[in-house]
This record gives sequence, C-alpha cells and structure tokens, in this order.
Amino acid sequence: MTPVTAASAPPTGAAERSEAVTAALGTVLDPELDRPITELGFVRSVSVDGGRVAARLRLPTYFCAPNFAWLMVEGARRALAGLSWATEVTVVLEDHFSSDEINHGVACGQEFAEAFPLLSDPDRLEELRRTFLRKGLLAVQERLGRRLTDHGWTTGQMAEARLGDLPGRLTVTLVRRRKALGLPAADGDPVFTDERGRAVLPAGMEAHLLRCRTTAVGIAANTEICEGLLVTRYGPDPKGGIA
Amino acid sequence: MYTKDGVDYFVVDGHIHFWDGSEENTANKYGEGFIRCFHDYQRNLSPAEWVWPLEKFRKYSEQDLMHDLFETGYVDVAIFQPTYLSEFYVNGFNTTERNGRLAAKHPDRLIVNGSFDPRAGEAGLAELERLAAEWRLRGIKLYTAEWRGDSKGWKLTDPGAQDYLAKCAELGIRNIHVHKGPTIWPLNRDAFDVADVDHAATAFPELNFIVEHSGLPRLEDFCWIATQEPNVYAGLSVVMPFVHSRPGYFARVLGELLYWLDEDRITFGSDYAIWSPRWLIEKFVDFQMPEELQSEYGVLTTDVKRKILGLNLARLYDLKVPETALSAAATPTAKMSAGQVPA
Repeated sequence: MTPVTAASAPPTGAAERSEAVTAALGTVLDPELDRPITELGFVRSVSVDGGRVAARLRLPTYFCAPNFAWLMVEGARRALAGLSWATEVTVVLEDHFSSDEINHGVACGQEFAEAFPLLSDPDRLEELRRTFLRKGLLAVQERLGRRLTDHGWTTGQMAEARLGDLPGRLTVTLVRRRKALGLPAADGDPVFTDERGRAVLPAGMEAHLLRCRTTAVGIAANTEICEGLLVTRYGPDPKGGIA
Repeated sequence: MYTKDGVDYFVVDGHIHFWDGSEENTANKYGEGFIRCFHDYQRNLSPAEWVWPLEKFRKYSEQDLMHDLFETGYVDVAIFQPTYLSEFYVNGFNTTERNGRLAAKHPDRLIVNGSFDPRAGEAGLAELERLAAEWRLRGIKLYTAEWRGDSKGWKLTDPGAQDYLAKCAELGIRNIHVHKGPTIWPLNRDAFDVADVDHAATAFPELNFIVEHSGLPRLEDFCWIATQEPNVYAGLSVVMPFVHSRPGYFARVLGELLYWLDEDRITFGSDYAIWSPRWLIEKFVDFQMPEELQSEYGVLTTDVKRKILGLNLARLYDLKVPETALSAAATPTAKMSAGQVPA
C-alpha cells in the first residue's frame, strides 16, 4: 500500500481510528482562546468501539461561558460526525453548570437558543463566534508582524505585502482564519488587513500592529488563566487525558 | 502604609469582600460551584503558603480580614465591593449589609460600596436611595452578569440602567465599579462585552467607571474604550496575582494598560479573600518590566507604583494621603502615550 492511498483510505484499526478522532478534535478551537481544544487539555477521554466514537470534554471552571462551551461541544460533535467510518457519535461535557442542557441540546441537533430558551436571541451565537474569529485574525497578524520586523521589514513593506510574497508556513494560520471568516485569501490579497479583510494602508500600519498586539496579549493572558485553572481543577497533567 | 527602600506607599485596596459561602448559606449547586470556582482561583494564582483550606475560604472571620488587610497587609483603606448572588446563597454572598456592619466598626479603614440592579425597577431606585443614606455611599459595584429570575444578565445601555446611573449622579455616588472580567460567571450571550461601558461613560461624564479586572477577556476592547473616555479606569483585581505566577503576562497586560490609558487611571485591588494584599504589594513594588519589554512598554517608576497602589483611588474617594507618600511633582515617565510608537 502506498502512503498516498494509506492516507486517504478510512482507517480500520482501533489505534488508527483513535488517532483520527484526536486529529478531528484538533480542528475544534476554543473560540475565545483561539486554540485547539486538544492542546488546551479540554478533551478528557476518547473511546472508539468499531464505528462508535465517544469523547468527553471538560473545562477550566464550572462557570465557563455556556455559549462558548456549546460551540466547543457542537464543534466536536460535528468534527467526529465528519469521520466517514463513524456510525454513532457521542460528545459529553462534564462538570459544568449547564452540562445537561448542552449535552442534550447538541445531541438532539438543537440550536443554542432552543436549548436555552431564556437566553434567546437566536443569531447571537454565530455573531459571537465570528467576533472571536476576528480577534484571532488580528492576533495572528501580531505574531507575523513581529517575525517580519525581526527580519528587517518596514511597516511600509508590510503594507505592500501580498500573501504570495511569503512562504506558506508563515501564512498558513492567517489563511485558515481568513477562510473561516469568508475573507479573501488568494496569493494576490494583502497580508495585513483589518478584521473585515480590508487592506491596511502604510500610514495606518503601526497603529494596526499595536491593536493586534493588545488583542494578542488579551487572548494570551486569558489562556494563561484558563490553563492554570484547568490544572488546578483536574491535576497537573490535564493533557495526559487524551492519551 | 508599605515602606520599601525608604519610599512610602499609601495603599488603597479597591476590591475586597467579606463573603459567606458556608454550606448553611449555599442555596444550590450554583452556589456550591461558585465558591469552589473562587477557591480554584486562589489555588491557581497564589504562592503555596497563601492558599487556604476550602473550609476557611467558604467563610472567614472578621479577625481574619482585619489581620490580613491592616495588621500584616499594609493596607491603609479598603473598599468593599458587594456581590449579592441572591439566587445562589440564602442570605446573599457578600451584601452591602454584611460588609457595612464591619465597615461601621472601622470607619477610617473600611469603605462600603452599594449595588443596584436596574431590573428591580422603581422599588430598586428607592432601595438605592435608602442604601445611599444608610451607608453614605461613594461608590457602587455592578454585576451585569447576575441572574435574576429568568434573566441571565443586563447591560449598562438598558433604559432602566440610565435611571439608576442618573440617580447615582444625583446622590453624589461618583464611582461606578463594573465587573467585566474572566468568564467564570453564568452569563447571557456575551455579558462581559465592555461596549456598554463606553455608552454609559459618555452619557455620564460626571461619574467614574472603574472596570474591574480590566475587562480581561476583552482587554483590547476595554483599552480602546478607555482611550476615548477619560472617566474610564482599569481595576487590577485578578490581574495583580499574575505578578507572582505569570510575571511575563503581568508585564504585558500592565504594559498595555499603561500604553492605552495612563498611570493615573489604573487602580489596585486584591480581590480579598481570593488573594491577600501583603504578597501582592510586596511583589508589585519589587516588580520591574522585563528588559526585553522595556522598549515597548517603558519602565515602572516609583511614582507609577504609588499611583496604582493607592494615590489614584485616594483621588477618586477623597482620601487624605500622608505627605510622605505623596507622589513627586508630576514628572514625565518613560511611558509612551497612545498614538506614539516605539522608536
């Protein structure tokens, strides 16, 4: 069997399937922290039994925002359901004040607003998700801007830069974020944009990078709190949970 | 007063609690989850010797508080920020009354703030007047994410909230502390969105809006608002303990606040009893921006630390500061103002 067909054929072995599950969950981001739930230690356990897949998730506090928790549970369920060999998918959130509503709601394919009728405003959750994707888009530009500055780029050069000018390894996350937001991400599109995809003018580049910096600091500090609380709550090696 | 290297620091702890999270007072699983969550905050970010057993943490004594703040904690004046949580705790968690009884015994040391909830309508306005008269309120603490019946939160932009803020202005309650912090609370939609502070600060220029926890999960949104509204302040509770366990992040968050606001609009708060002021103050006074960040954020001068630890809140609450602790005549600091960029 060549590597190419091996990669495209559905895995049949338990170990391979387990790996596929982990990889699928790795595509689910904590919307607020802009990082995969697998890296954050939010996946407590995974089990595969033939076509039956189950994942248990946990969060840093009992009161983590239910709307973000919902997005992660729903995202995990969707990612696992995308595995061609998965016949039955269960995702369970543990130890959360609204575990019951979230687990039941996601399993039944409800919308957030249906599971939490009192929280109302049906469209708000998607808007919230996009708000945080936009913040992620700014934060990723901060990291890129820093690297380019270290390599001697001027802000003027950064403003002129097109995605095709840079090696893919530098822009892969940026491009993924843009696509998630439905923003242009072709080789000829600018590298640095505001959260709506509009190019940053040379005169506005320094201010733009400062805004990106503050956004990145906020996300990073929040991540520190959440990671620390997860360890406090569940012990020193939460990332071991997925092994 | 804290003295280090011959420098006196007048300390105003702008964020303390005297709560009752005892089992007898806990009404339901939410109350139980809440106090444990608070305790995890203490365990996560404190030096080991400052971690309390859960039993003590649920309900500590008046003696504990007086000892930790004033006998060993260097605090000159502390401000109670009530947290009612009436749906979680039988007699409330940390009410104005509970705080006020203690403050009445030590009026030169403890200031009690009130609270309001615009969902209480006309009756709530009358209650605010009563609280203001009884406790001579100078400040108010608001939890926009608090549950009430079927409602899971409110915003400063709600029409009812405008009446309450106008009432505060009328009663001379100038300091409005708004909890906008890490999302450990039950919330409706995005209850920690800080945009409503912008609106209120514009509508009520005579009031000061102290955003507790600096809107941490929304730091950039908060900073942006604060650059435009001169009456918006950053409260450092929850941010401060980073100075011990995550000094790099502490430096960056403080650096961002100094950059976008300025040193006159950042205020100290321990969030006692989650964290104790003694170690926070000692570590903060010893703290300096790491060298690799100084080109971006400047350095922390003695004056900046004095203002943050006490002088800024002393100004907001009209507290008399001993001469020895007054800041040197307004000297320019290494801080850069918004709009400039690092050289």
